[in-house]
Amino acid sequence: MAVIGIDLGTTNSACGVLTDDGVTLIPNRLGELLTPSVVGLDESGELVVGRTARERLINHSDRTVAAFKRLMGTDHRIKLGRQLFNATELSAVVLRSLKEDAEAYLGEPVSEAVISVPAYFNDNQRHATKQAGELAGLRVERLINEPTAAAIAYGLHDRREGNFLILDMGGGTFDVSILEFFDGIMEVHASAGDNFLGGEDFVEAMIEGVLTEQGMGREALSARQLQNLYMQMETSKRRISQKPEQILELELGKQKLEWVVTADWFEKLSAPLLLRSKRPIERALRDAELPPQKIDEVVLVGGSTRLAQFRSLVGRMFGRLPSCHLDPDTVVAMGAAIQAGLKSRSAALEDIVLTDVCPYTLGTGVLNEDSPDQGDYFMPIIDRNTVVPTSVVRRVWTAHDNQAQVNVRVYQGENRLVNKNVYLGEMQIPVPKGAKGEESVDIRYSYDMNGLLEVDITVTSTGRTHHKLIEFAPGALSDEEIQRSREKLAKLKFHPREEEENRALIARGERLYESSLGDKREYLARMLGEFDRVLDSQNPAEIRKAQLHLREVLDRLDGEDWI
Amino acid sequence: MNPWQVLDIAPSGDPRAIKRAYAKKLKQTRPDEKPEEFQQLHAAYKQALGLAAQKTDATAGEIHGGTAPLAAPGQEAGSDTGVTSRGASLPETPIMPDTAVTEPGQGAAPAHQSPTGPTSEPDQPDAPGSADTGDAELQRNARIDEYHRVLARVDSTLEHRQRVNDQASWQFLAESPFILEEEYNWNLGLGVFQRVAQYSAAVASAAQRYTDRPGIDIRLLQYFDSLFAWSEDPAYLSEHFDAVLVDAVLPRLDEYAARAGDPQRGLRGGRKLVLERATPEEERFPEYYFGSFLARAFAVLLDVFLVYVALGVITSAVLIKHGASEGDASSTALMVSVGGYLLLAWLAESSRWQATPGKYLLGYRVTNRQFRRMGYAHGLWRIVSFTLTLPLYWLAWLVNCFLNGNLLHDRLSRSYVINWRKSREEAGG
Repeated sequence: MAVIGIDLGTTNSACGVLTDDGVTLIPNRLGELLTPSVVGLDESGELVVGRTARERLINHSDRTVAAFKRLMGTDHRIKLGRQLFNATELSAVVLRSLKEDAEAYLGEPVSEAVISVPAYFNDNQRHATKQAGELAGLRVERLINEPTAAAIAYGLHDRREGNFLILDMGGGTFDVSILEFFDGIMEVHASAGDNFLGGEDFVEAMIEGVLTEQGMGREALSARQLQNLYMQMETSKRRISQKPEQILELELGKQKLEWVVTADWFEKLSAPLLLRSKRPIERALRDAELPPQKIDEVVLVGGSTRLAQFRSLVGRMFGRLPSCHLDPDTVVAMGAAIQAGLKSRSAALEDIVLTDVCPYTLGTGVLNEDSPDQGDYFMPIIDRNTVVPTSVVRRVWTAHDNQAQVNVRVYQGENRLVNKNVYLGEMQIPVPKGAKGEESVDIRYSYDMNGLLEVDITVTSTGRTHHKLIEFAPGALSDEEIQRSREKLAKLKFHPREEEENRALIARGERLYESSLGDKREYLARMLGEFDRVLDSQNPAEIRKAQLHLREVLDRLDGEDWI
Repeated sequence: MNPWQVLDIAPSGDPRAIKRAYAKKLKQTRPDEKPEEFQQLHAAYKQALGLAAQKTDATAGEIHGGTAPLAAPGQEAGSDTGVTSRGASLPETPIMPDTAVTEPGQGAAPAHQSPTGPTSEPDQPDAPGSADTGDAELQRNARIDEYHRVLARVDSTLEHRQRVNDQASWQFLAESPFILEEEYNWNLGLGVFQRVAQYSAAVASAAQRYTDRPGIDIRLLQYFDSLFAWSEDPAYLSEHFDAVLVDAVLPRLDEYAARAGDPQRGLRGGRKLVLERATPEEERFPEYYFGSFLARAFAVLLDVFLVYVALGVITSAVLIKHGASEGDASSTALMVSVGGYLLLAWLAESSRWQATPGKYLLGYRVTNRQFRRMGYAHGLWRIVSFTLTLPLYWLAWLVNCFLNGNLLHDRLSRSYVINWRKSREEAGG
């Protein structure tokens, strides 16, 4: 049975499988390799995913949601129509759709997958991703870091040796990894990243820019106008290198205006983001103890690395052109598929071993007697960029007389104060009472290949070992909650696969209809009515013809390029 | 542990040979299958590489000893720390042109700030003294001019009361053509920092020129920080600027940094965003105070009264309607109310509120001995304990008076009633 590799992205997702002929990317129900990570409910309460949902984001934004990957590992929930969903459930919907695509393509059931996550994802976000896979009916054998997955795809493709710097800027996250290839070994030396830096932030900055210059706030815009603005800015961002000056018709509140997007304007808005992207690069180089001269190749991954401004920044930093001869949008999915093959021990990959690192420091809080009002000190247990799997023990002592228990809080981060690091959860361990400093516990952190953390605590005096789940972890679902989510999702169905093409066309047509006026609008209404009529006739040949025709019309009328 | 034994090769100074041996071993010791052996192997590999590097240094030192220094000053030979000294800097750049604040070491950025070193300056000739120094000179002058122009504009913007906190009036910083260049950005960042910090410090002390000025908005500080990464290198700033200046800016940025990364940013669509389990962090105090006995008695009376209003009145009304005598009805109603109270107390005290309405009003919380919420089972045991002490009547009352708020049934059920409000106030004060 095949194991598939999935790239679950902020903006787009993709999946692939390793066969005897190499890596194959799996087309979705529309025949496309990228499935937008957008989920919605339609009027009949059925699930809409992918391109169709993305089109519906404009006019049905209260029933559709995008870019929810950022909410993974948090307790936020989003209301679609009348139902509440957490990010794990929404991701599960996308995964389920990819799973069905893979099953249709491979002609066999798929129940196992390797899913890629940003290297800088924390423990909670990783757990949430794994749970999303389980909700979608996929056993998640392995989580792989996105830049590492891209490196695998490049490594197998080129079979070159040396030091590689992978820059992965996707829709929502930016990851940097430094790897070395030699003798079939891929060794990650260091990873760093920024979980809030990606293509969506550039669009966000453009929108902020427009609204500031107009002296308006977001609340002045209707939901439809805001989504429309997102779409227009996304399009112009993608075109900015080809067309340094673009004229857009914006509708903001009650006013309509012409807006000129120039390359200068875009550069001004993107400068802070680009400067931010340098920090993880510098940190990774520092951690890997490699000067830039020793980097043999700089590899760009992720759709946002298409930005000319980003490329020239990288070019300036390294004094050479970065390479990107594999499609930056799908290379992570390819790598994940290869990892899936590795996992099922494809013969072709027998001689390849991958070692990865833990990209951030993990530790616990210890009493801060110097300045109690600043909160506890952070005591690192696993240092960042330690090769994984790893297991480290540190001992802590009781801080008060007659302390009955030790509260072990798990944090991630680089600051010396816990308040400024990310809280991952905590555990309560009873200890025998005694004088201050008399009792101690050994805290063991074990970090596995998936980037998942386990904590074991041994009370030294009794020798009793506690192996408990971390409590209060944001975004973590209990078994009960998982069961409830499973039931909730089981009730929601996708439309039949073969109808998807028509639904996507209609969604696009409706989006265009609502954004156009006058003759164009009437024409679109007529075309859509005509299409409905042909669909009702249920004549496959006619439908095929009508699809082609409608697509042509829509292509001609649609000025946007945003999916 | 002898790394050579683990790697199964003879001691060698050749990193290539070490890598080959490691690769061979690693294929039999896959990290996912044999994690412990893998850790050992990896440690041995790193150690061997370190030994090999030392060896190379030693031999290199012997050969070249005394002739020419192999590495640049300040850089350890062969350590590959990724830290190249900032060879190509703007030596003439007057960083602090008009003030006498501590000199931030002209262009000598802290080494780790520039791991990208010379390559970040494609316009700088790689080898000093190459043919196009004239060109480089021009380039450098263009940057110095731009640097002064931008700083002049910073000064004039700070002079304008209305424009200071308007982010749009600061956009010129990002428009500066060399802003993405490492070295220019670094120097400009220091210049802006000095001015912004001086301004902030002056506003804070309300003594000098800017007495009637608004303080700098945190959003604006964040914007500066996103351009110049001040918060990335607090040590350098503290070393080179007055503490007053540094304290005027960095703590505010630091405070923000903890809250950075709003997961909602960029989210599209959805009718509403809900955050239910808001803060997993529970309130903890250094010291906890027991609730007072009298206040608790009052809370119980209040609760029973509430239940009586809700349940008892209806019960007695129903009973009277069905022909029961008034006395019977009211005593039954009282019984129902007490029963209702016990039920309410159980559910409310073990719930998220951790208190009955009466206790909640007083700012009291019921906790277990770890000062956390009780489970429902524990809560039930607490109520049973309470009921057990009831038959003692006045005796229980009397004893409880002397227990400092840790009453009989609290002790029996291993729970506490804490004056949460007071504990919080004491912690805050």
